[in-house]
Amino acid sequence: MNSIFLLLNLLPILFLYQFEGALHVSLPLTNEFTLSLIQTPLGSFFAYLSLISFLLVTIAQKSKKLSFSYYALQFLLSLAMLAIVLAGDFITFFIGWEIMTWSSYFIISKSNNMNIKSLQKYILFSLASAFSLIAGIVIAYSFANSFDFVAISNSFESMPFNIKVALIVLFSLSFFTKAGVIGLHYWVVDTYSKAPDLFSSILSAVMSKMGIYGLFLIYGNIIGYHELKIMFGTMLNGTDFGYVLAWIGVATSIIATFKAITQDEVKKLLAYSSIAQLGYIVAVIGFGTSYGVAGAMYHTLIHTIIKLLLFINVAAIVAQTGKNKFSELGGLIYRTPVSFVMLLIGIIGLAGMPPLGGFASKFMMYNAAIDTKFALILIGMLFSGAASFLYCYKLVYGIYLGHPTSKSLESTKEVSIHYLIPQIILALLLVLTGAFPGAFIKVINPILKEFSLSTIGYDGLGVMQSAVGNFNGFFIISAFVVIFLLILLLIWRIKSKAKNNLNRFDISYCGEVPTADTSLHYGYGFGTELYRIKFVNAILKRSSSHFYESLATQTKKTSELFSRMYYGNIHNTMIIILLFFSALFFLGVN
Amino acid sequence: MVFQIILLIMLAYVVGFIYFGLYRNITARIQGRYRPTVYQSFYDSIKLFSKKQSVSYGWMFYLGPIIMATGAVLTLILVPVFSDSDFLRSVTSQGNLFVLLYLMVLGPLGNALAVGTGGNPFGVMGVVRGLTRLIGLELPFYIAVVGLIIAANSSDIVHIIDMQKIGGLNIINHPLLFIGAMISMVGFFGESPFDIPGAPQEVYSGPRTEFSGKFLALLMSQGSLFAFAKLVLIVDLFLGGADSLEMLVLKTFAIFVSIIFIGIVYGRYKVEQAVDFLMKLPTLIAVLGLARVVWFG
Amino acid sequence: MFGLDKGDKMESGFYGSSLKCKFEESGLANTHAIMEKAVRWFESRSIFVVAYGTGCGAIEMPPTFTSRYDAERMGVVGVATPRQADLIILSGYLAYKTLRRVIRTYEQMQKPRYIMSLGSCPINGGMYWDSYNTIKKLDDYIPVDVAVTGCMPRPEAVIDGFVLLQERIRNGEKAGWEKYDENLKFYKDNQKRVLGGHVDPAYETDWYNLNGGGIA
Repeated sequence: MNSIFLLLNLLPILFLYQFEGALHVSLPLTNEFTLSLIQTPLGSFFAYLSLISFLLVTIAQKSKKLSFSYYALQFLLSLAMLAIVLAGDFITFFIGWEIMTWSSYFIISKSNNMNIKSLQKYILFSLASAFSLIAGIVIAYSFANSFDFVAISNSFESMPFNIKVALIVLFSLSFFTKAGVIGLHYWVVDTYSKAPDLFSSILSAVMSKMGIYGLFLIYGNIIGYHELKIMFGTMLNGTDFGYVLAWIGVATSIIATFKAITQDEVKKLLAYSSIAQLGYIVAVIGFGTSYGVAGAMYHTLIHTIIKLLLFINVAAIVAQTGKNKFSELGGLIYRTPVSFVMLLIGIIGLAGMPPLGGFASKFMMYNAAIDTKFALILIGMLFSGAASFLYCYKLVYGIYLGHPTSKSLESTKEVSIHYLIPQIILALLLVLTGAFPGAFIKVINPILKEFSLSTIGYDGLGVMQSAVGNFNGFFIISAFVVIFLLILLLIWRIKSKAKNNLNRFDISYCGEVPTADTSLHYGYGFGTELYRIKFVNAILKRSSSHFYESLATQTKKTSELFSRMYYGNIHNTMIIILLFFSALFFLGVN
Repeated sequence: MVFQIILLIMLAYVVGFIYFGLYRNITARIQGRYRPTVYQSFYDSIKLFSKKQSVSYGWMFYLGPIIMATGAVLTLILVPVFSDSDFLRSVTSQGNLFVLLYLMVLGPLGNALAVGTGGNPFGVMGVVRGLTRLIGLELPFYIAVVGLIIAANSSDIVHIIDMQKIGGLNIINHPLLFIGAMISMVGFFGESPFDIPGAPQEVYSGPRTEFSGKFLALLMSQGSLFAFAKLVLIVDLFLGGADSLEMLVLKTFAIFVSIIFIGIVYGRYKVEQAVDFLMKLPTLIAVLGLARVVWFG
Repeated sequence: MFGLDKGDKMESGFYGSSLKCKFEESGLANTHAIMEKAVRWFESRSIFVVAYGTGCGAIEMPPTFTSRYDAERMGVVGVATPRQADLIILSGYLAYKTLRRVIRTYEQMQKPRYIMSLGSCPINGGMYWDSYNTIKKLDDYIPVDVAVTGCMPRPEAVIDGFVLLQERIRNGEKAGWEKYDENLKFYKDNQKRVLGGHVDPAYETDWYNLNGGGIA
C-alpha cells in the first residue's frame, strides 16, 4: 500500500516538469465560471515544496501500519494543496482550500491522542478561515465580475479604498489563521501536538505554508506590492502596511519563542517553534522589497525542511520509546546516534547557525530589514533568534543528552531505517541550502519578476548578494569543516589519554555518588528561570485561551437566549422564523 | 594566505594569553595581592595540554570543545585585523557582521552539546543560565551593531572601518551605541556582574565542570583567541580599526582594561536580575543611539 | 609490591611516547629529556587546587589564597571541580564518612595528581588519636605527597608545602599517584577495611582501567 501511494505521490511531477508554464488547464463550468489551473513560478515553488514533503513523509510512513483510508485521505490532501497553489481563479482555490480542511480533519481525527475538544478547535478555526476567505472572494467578485486572479488584479485599482482595506483584512485573517499568527494560533498547538506523529510534520511543514502562499498570492500577485505602497504610503524605505505586518510577525515570533521554551511536551515545543518561525516570514512578507520577498521565500523553504526533519525525528523517537515529554526522555545519544545527528543538524538550522541553510534565510531577512531601515523590527527578529537558542538546546538536551529518566530508555534501539532515510535527505538539503545560497536566488528571481520587483544578484552558486553585504555560504561551510578537522587532528595527536566510555554516573558531584535514583536529568526544570524574568513572565502568563474561552461562554449564553424562543412546538417556531425573514426581505426590497 | 592565517592565530594566541595574564595581574593588584607572572595563563595552558589523562564521555563530549574552538578561529579569521593592509583581506571579505553575530554563539552552543553529554546537572545548569542570560545580553549589542550597519548601510566590517576614516570614529559619532555595546561586552567576557554561567560558588564551574586536561586546555586557548577576536571586533566597529601592530595592541588593550575595571568592582547578578537590568537601561541607551541613527542620519 | 607490570600502565602525556620514539630513533633522546624537564617545570608552575575543607585547617586556606599571602604568585590557583584540579588539600582530620568522599574526589582528578594534608591529624590522628570514627594515618588510604605539620599550620607553612611540592615535581620524583597505581590493592584493602560495607562502586575507581581496557 505504501509503495502504491509513494508512486501516486510522484505522479504530479509529470505535469510539473518545468518551473513555469508546463501546466495550463481550464475547465468551463458555466458561461461565467471557469475552473483553471495555471503554473506560475510562485505556484510551482510551493507545489514542489508540498510534493517533496508528502513524498518524504510517505517514505517514513512505511514504518507504520496505516489503513488505506489514511493514505487515500493524505493523497487527497496533497492534491488539494496542488489545486490551491496551481489555481488560476478563486473558485479552484476555494475548492482546494475546503478539501484541504476536510481531508486533514479526518486524518487528524484518526489519532489516538485526539480529543473532541481539540478537533472542534481545529475545525472551527479552519471554518472561520474559510468563511473569511469566501467573504473576501465574494466582495472581490462583486467588483470584478470574475473569479479569475488576473481579472480581480486588474480591477483592484479601481475599487474604493475601504473595499480594498476590507479585502486585505479578510484575506489576511484567513491566511493568518492557517499560518498561526499570534492571537489566531489557538488551534495550532493542540492540533500539531495531538495529530498523528508523522502527520504533524505535514501540518507544520506544508499546510501552514498554504497560509503563506495565500499571503504571497494576495500581496504579491493580486494586489501587488506596488499598489500596497500607493495605498498606504511609505515609511522609511518600506511601506506603512509592511511595518504594521512586520510588528505582527515579530510579536508572533517573540511570544511563541518564549512559550516554546516552557513546554514540556516535545511536539508542543515544535508547534510553538513553528508559529515563531512563521512569524519571521509574516514579518518580512509585507516589506514589499525584493529582499523581503526573497527572505520570506527562503525561510519558507528552510522552515519546511527543518520542521519535516524535526517532526519525523520526534515521531520516530516517540514510536521507539512511547514517551513524548522532555521530563520522561533523555540520554538517547549513544543509543540512537544517527537520529541524534539528524536532530542536531535540524536544530543548527532552526537556530540559524552559519554553516547551514537556516542562516542563509535569516541573513536574507535581516538584509531586508536593513534595506528598509526597519531597525526595531530587525532587533525584534534578532532578539527572538537569540531566545530561540534556548528551545533548540532544550530539544536536543531533553531527548538525547543528559541521563535517561527511566530504565526502559536504556535499552532503546536505533529507530527504523524508514524514519532515517527522509531525515538524511532533509539534512543534506539543509547543508546544500546553506552552502549554495546563490542557487536559491536563481529559483527566486522568476518569482520576483512575477511580482514585478527587481531581481537579486548572485555570484556563482555559493554567494548570495545583497544591498548591505554578501554571504558566501560555500566559503563559510568549507572553512568551518577545514578548521574543525585541523583542530580535531591536533587534539587527536595530543596523547593525553582520553578515558572513553566512562560510566554515566561518574561525574563530579561534590564527592557524592549518584545512583540510578538520583534525578540528574535537567529536562523538566528547563525554562523555569524564564518565569522569574519580569518581561518574559508578563508574556508567559498571558494566553489567548482566556479570550477564546470567554468568547465561547458568551456565544453559549447568546444561543441560550435564542433557544428560549423555542417553546416546544417546532412548527410554530419555524413559522415565526419564516415570517421574521420575510419581513426582513420585504423591508430590504422597499 | 594559509601562512597569514597561522600567523594571525599565533598572534592572537600570544596576545590573548598575555592579556589574560595582565588581567590576572591587574585583578591581583586591585585586590591588594602580589601578582602572578604575566605568562601564568600560558603555563596553565601548557600544563593542561600535557596532563596524562583527560576524561571523556564519548564522541560528542570529545567534539564539543573542538566545535567551540572552530567557532573561535573562524570568528578570528573573519574579523579584519589590520584596516589598511591587504592582510587576509580575501578571507575577511567573505564574512560580514551578521555571520559574526551568529558565529559568536555557535561555539558555546557546540560546547553546550558536550556539556549535556557529560551528564553533569551542574554543567547543564550553567549552560541554561548562559543561554537565558543571552536573551538580555545580546540585546544592547544587537542594537548597537544594527545601528552601525544602518549608519554605514553595509554589514561589511571593512566598509564600516572605511566610513570611520572619512566621517570620524564611531565612538564619537555614536557614543550611545558604544556604551550599549560595551555593557554587553562585559558579559561576553564573562565579567561581573554578568558572570552567571560559570559561577563557582553556585554551580560548580558551570559548563566547564566536567572538562579536564586537553579539553580544558583547548577551551582556555580558544577563550583567549576568541577574546582577542572580540576585542578586535569592537576596535573595528568603534575605534576605526588599527593599521599597525602597535595601534592594534594599544586600542584592544584600552578596551580590555576598561572591561576589567568595570567587571572587577561588581558583585554577581542573579540571572533574572541580569536580564532585567540589561533589558532596561543598556537597551534604552542603545535604542536612543539607534533612533538617532535612523531618524537623524 | 602488589602492582601490575610497569610497562603496561605507562601513559604518555603531551610530549609522550610517540614523540619519544621518534626522538630515540633519530638519536635525539637528549632533546626529549629536555622537553620533559620543560613540561615538568610548567607543571610545577601551575597547580590547580581543589581545597577540601575536612577539618579546622580549612580556615587557613582563605588567607593563603587571598591578599595576605597570595598563593597565585606561585601559580597556585583554586578551582571548583576535581576534574580540573592537580592538587587536593585535605585540611585536617578525616572521619570515615569524609574519607569516602575524599577517595571519590581524588579518583576523579586527572593524572598527574597530588595530595597535600594539613595539620597533624592526617599524620597520626592528632587529638583524635582514640576516636572511633576517624582515620589515624591518611597515607594508608590514599598517597599523601606533602604533609604540612602543625596544629594548625600557618599559611607560611602551607606555602612552604607548595614550594616543596613544586620542587618534587620539577625533579621528577616519584609522586603519590604513581605509588597509588602500583600499590592499588594495598590501598583498596585498607579503604575497604575502614569503609566496611560502604565499598565504592566499581566505576569510581581506576581499578579496571589500569590495563588500558574499558571500564566495567
